[in-house]
Parts: sequence; structure tokens; C-alpha cells
Amino acid sequence: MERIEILKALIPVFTEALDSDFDVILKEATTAADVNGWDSLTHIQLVVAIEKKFKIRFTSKEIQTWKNVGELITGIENKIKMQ
Amino acid sequence: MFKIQWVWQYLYFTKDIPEKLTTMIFNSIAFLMFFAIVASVNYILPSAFRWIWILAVSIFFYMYTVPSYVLVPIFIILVTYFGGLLIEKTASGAKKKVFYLSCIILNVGILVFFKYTNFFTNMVIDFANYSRQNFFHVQGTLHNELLIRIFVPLGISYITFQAIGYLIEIKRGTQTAEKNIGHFAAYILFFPKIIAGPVERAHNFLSQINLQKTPDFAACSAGLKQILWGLFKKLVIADRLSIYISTVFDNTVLHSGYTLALCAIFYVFQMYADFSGYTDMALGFSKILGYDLMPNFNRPLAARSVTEFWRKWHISLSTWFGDYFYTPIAIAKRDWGPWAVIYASFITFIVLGFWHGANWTFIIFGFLQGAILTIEFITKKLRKNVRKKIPAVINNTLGILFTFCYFAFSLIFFRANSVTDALEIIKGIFNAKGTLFIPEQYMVLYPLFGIGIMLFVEWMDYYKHSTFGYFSHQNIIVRYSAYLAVSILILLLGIFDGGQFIYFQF
Amino acid sequence: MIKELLIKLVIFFVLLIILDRGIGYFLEKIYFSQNHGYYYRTTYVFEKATPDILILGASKASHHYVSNMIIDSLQESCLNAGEDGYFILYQEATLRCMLKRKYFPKLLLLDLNDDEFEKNTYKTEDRLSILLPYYHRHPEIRDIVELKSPYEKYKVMSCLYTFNTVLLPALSGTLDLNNRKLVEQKSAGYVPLNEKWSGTFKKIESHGQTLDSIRIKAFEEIIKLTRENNISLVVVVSPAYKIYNRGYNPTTEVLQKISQKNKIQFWNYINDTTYLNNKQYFKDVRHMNDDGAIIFTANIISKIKTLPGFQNLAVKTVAEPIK
Repeated sequence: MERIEILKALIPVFTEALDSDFDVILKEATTAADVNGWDSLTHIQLVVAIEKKFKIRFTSKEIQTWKNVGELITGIENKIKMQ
Repeated sequence: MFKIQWVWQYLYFTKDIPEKLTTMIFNSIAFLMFFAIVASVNYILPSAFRWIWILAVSIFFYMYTVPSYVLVPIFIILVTYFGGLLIEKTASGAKKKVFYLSCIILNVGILVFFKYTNFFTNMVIDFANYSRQNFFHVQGTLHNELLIRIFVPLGISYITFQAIGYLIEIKRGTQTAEKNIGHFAAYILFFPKIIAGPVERAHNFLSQINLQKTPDFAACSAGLKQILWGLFKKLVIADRLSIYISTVFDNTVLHSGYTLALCAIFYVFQMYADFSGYTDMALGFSKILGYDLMPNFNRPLAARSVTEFWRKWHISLSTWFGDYFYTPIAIAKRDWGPWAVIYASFITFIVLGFWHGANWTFIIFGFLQGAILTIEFITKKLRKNVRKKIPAVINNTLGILFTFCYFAFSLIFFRANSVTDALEIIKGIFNAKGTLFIPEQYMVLYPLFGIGIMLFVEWMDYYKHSTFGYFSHQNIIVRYSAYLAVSILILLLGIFDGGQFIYFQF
Repeated sequence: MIKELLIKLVIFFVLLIILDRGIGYFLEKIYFSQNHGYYYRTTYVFEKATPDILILGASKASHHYVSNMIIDSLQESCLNAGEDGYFILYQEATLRCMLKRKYFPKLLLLDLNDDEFEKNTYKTEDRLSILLPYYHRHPEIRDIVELKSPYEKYKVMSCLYTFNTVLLPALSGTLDLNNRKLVEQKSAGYVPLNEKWSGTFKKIESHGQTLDSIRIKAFEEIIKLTRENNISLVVVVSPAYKIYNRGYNPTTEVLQKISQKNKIQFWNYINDTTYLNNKQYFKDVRHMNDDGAIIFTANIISKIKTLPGFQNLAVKTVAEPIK
């Protein structure tokens, strides 16, 4: 899967998990600070939703190292490749 | 020959410690003189040597309370510094984990030993007594022979937490181990944040030490303004309220429900003014030395839910707990679905409460936070639907009032010396008859006036994007008038008889 | 950048000093034009009062000595200058101010609390605040005020600081909305209490309390000043609804010792059963009510009559105090 496809697929996941009224805007450089409602509480739900959507499983370590959406996409990419 | 008794004797304490500590708190002349010297020399020194000076005065500041206790942070620094390098160097695997866990356990162990030993031994003795009476029907009570009279080393909670956070980030690979032990020591011991935080992140501070930025006019000016504002909050609001509140809460049985309720409300403002005032001074002093510390507060009294509140109150601590407690636990248990969030919230906040002090009251304080956060989490969708049907103004106002009252309620436990005392106060609020007790009108009017100014300035900062209200106005006359007005209010209404800072022995 | 910063700081401090003096001047005017109230009474005793018999003490004094009875019986002017929260250092300051303006009362009744010298009873530094507004006008008490903290003599350079806290009360002290002044004048300082105590004795375990040497020194200083200026001094510990374990009390022990050494009258009413057996004389553990005060004052009067200088008075019946 291409990065841009992953990014596009993430938008509904974020929107749903963060219970947002409108589509969440995501770019590679987006961080939690940029997104309304994305905090430590909702982060967990986000991770679960992402794992469900892409049918992958992250380790705790991997989850905690993402600094922005770009790194998240890289993580997803790698997981998909490994399958 | 080394004897274990020597360690015990070294730690055994009977000195009148609190007297001496008071003289080096930020709102004391001794400290201001000390700081003036520190800042001047810091500015004059060439950048490469500044960290040495900062480290030296931080050690002096630490030893000013009780000299021998500086060995505790020095030990922590050595363990954490070498541990960090070792962990980084070791490849992933069992060995790395062992080094990592040893360092963490050492830090936690030191914290627990100094702060919580008596709490745990008391618990054991209480349980033993309970069993003896109820299960074995033995007469008489055991006394806790293991009680140690130990004074908690200054800032030990902040020191160990910064060290632990540093180690965790190294293990995660998000932080490179600091090669310069002097820099690392300066980070841990940096005196403006040693007494009451903020719980500074290693990379934020270490990067600044490495930069060796010279404090410029903007930084000094901003720092001075922040110190003045912090002094106002502490001396005019917090220390004033403290007098009235102590008079009432130290004799709860004598007071009516109205008085107790008023004091519970006031106590929120006292806590906020005291802690944010002290933090403002810490940040201000740091700015003058050329360091930007992380903010600790972001208009918490305007929070519309307790969830939002904890993003705005004691931010350095709640984010520390968020990143190193809540997130790992919730991630590890994420298969539990919403239960993961609930589980993680309770554990995190109970520990956060307990961090504040070795008493069941703090555990309950933490539990209360976990409980309301859980409720808010579960009812999120419901509340969102309700919000859509009600005008925003009402929603926000109700949210703010609820958050304020809930926090005030939980603070009763925070302040009380025991759970029974706290329950007495709560019972009193609803039951006690009588009128409002105000011995002298000014005791309440002065702090109310100060609170009004504080809230106005916070409103102004948010909606007009100022910094400390008129302190940042473009017109120089307006600015100077503001500085002078605040200074005059401090002289006229401030408490100078040495009010003690609340977040002290942490 | 240093130059810019220093210049701005200097300008700020100069402006602050100007405002400090300016506003301080007005505050002083307001403070000293009060005509009733707590601060006014302090000022009055420091600067104007000239009673022949002066009663100094804390809340106990103000509630225990019926000055009008003393005036009627002994035909001398009498002022009860006791007030809540006053303490031995304050009393030394009062004496110094009176002596400075060359006023010498005939008799000084110094009423002290039974725990006056114990360090834990109160914090000296906090109580000394009441003397701050008088710092500049009364050089004779400056060293007492400076006991408040090591940097006090620098803090008082700010006029506003010396009027710390008093702004609102001083303002209301200038507006006598309830005719308090008239009431105060009539009773010559005595404040009757009317409730009756229904509780039990306060049992005090006396041992190991640290005594405050500064306060003891103040006491010795008062003795010295009264002796040097021919003022009769009587030290009184008036009744309290307390029982001291083994009858021993650290403060009264010191008072006894020092009074004896200096040949000063010391009248100790602690453990006096006349009062301990009559709960109805007390409003609370520390204070007697009006009934108790009348009995007590009568006793005090009879004892005063045995002092030199008061012995040639015709026997008079004790007049009813003005209600």
C-alpha cells in the first residue's frame, strides 16, 4: 500500500475514533497537538481502531515511538510489508 | 569498618528543619539576594562556563537546607547518568532490560524509602493490631517500633521522577544519553525547579544547556514580569486565603456549613494561586538565567470537564504520568476495550494522588479523579448529544462549575490530615448549623479582590492574547502603571510573615 | 542589553519609591485620623492616654477588669488598655511610648496569660505586625518591631509596607457609623462578656514546653522601666478555667521567680478555687464573664488598697459598674 493511500484510509479511522463532527485533517507532519480531541485517552482507541482496520498488531514499544502521523504511517507500512 | 548503624545515625534527624527551609523560598529576601548574585555572575560568565556556575549554585542551594542530604541526589545522578549510558550502549535483550529495571527500581526505591516507609510500616502494624483484636482476640496494641524520623530530602519526588523519565526515554530510544555528567547534574539539580517543579523533560532542558544561550533583554524582561505576577498571586491571594482557611479548617467542629463550604471553595483558589504563583516565579527566575522551563498551568479553572482540567493543571506532572504510566498501561491492556481506559485511569491517578504524600487521603484524592474521569469517559457520547441541544454558554458554565466543585470536593481530602478529618469536614458542610464566620471583613475581601484581578488577567490573556494582562501592553505608560499597581498591591495587601508554600515536601 | 535593563529597573524603582511615599503619606493620614476601633485604641494608648492606673494585657485583661469600679473605688483615673492579641512585647512597646512622651502612670497592672512565655502559644513575628504603622513615628519601639524578621529594617523603608493589611480597617475606623467611640469612652476600655461557660475544665499537662527568651527579656525590661520611672508595677495572672497538672505552670513559675528577685508584686489567680469552684463566672476556658469580672475586680481593688500609695484612701463602697 502506498503512503498516500494509508493516509487517506486513516482519515475515517481518526474521525470515528476521536468522535469528530467533521473529517479530521491529516498530513504527514500532523501531531497530536494539531488534532482536536487527540490525547492520551483517545490515543488508545485510535491505536485499537488502526490495528483493526489494517489487521495488524503493534508492539507497545512501536506505539510509543510515533511522533507524528508520518511515523505512524511508516509503522503501518512496515507491519503490512511483514505480513 | 563500615557499620550499618552509621547509615541510620546519618539519616536520623531531630533538627528544626522547617525554620531553615523557609528562608530560601522564593518570596524571601534571602533568596532574592541570592538570585541577584547568581543571575549577575551568570550573565557575566562566558557561555561555556555558565553550566558550571549553575550547577555550583544549585548544589549550594540544595545544601542550604541540610548539607548532608545532598548526597541523595548526587547518588541518584550518578546512578542515572551511568545507567543511561549503559542502557543506551547495550543492545536490546535481557541485559538491557536488567540495567534498565535496576536503575528504575533504585530511583523508585529511594523515593519510597524516604517518603513512604512510615506509611507502609504503619499499615502493617495497623493490620497486625486489627488481626490481633478481631481474629486472635489478643489485648493490647502494638506500637510501630519501625517508625523512622527522617526528613524527606528536598525535591526528592521531582528529582526521582525526572531521572525515571530520562531513563524511560533512553530505553525507548527517543532520548540520547547525556555524555556530560556536569550537564546532567545541572539538569537534575537546577535550583528554580527543585522545590516545586515543573517536572522538566530531559531533552528540553539538556538541549538548552548545550546551547548556552545568553539571556537577552526580552528574556529578562519577561522573566521579571512573570516573577512579579507570581509574587502577587502567592502573597496577596494564596497566603491571605491560607490564614482564613487554616483558622477554619484547624477547628472544623466550631464552624457552620456555610463557612466550611466557603473555605472549600477558597481552598481551590489558594491552591491555584500558590502553586501557579510559585511556578511563575520558578519560570521567571529560569528565564533570567536563560532557560525556558515547561509551563505547568493553562487556565485550569476554565476547564469544562475534569478530563480537560487535568490537561491544564500541573501539566508537567500529568503529562509525565500520562506518558509513562497511563499510556503504557492502556496500550498493554488495549484489548480490554474501554476497560483498558478505565483501568489505566484509576491506576494512574491513584499513584498520582499517592505521589503527593504518604497518606490515605491522597490515595482517595487520586481515586476520586480516576472515578470522575471514568464517568466522563463512559458518558462522552451522551454528553455530546446533550451539548448539541443546549446553548454553548450554559453548557460551558455548567461544565466549569461542575469541574470546580468536584475538584474542590476532592481537595478536601487533599488538605485534611486524615480520612476521618476529611469526612468530618464534608459532613459539616451539609449538616453544621450556624452563620458565616468572618472575623474581619478584610480577611475575605482582600483575597477576593486578588482573585478578581487574577481571573480578569487570565481572561484578558486568553481573549486579548496578552501576557499577564497589561504587563504586555504596547503603551509603555500602561505597562509601567500595571507593574507599579501590582507592586503596590503586594506591599499593601501581601502577607510577609512567611506563609509556607504548599507543594513543599514533595 | 544590561544597560537597557538596568535603566528600566532604576526607573521602575524610582517611580515605586515616589508612589510608596506619596500613597504612604495619605495612608498615614487616614490611619491616624481614626476615631474608634482596634487600631485607634492602640494609637490612643501610645500617644494620648494619661490614666493614673493603667491596665495592660491581652483579651483576658479587657474582659476581666471593670475600670469603672476601680475609678469609683480608688478615685483615680483608670484605663483598661487590654486588647485581643496583645502580648508582652506589645506591652513593652506601650510602656516605652508612654515614657517617651513623659507620661508616668501611678500604677501599672500587667495582666499576662498563663501560657504567655511558652513558645508554642503564639508566633511572635506574626503578632508584631500590629506595631508596623507606628514604626516611623515612634523611634523608641523600632528595635522591638525589628524582631519580626532579620530583614525587617529594610522592609520598613517602604511606607506602604508599614501599612500592610490596615487599609480597609483604617478606612472604616475613620467612619464611626455606630457611635462606637462613645461606648468605648464610657466603659474606659472594659469589655464585658455575657455568656456562661457550660463545658468542663481544661486540664493542662505542664512539662517540657520551650520558653521564649525574648518574651522573658521583655518582661524584665518592663520591670526595669517601671522601676526607673517610679511606676508601681503589679503582675497579675487572672483566673482561667484550667487545671494545671500538679499545679505547676512554666510561665507563672518564671513570673514568680523574676518578680521575687525584683521585689515586684505578683498576684497569681491560677488554681484559685474562688473562681475554679464557680463555673458561672466564666464565658469560656480563658475568659471570665461580667459576673466573674465584677468579683475579680473587687478583689483586685482590695489588694491595690494594700499597696503603698493607695493606703490612705477612705473606705468606699464598691459602686455598681455603669451598664
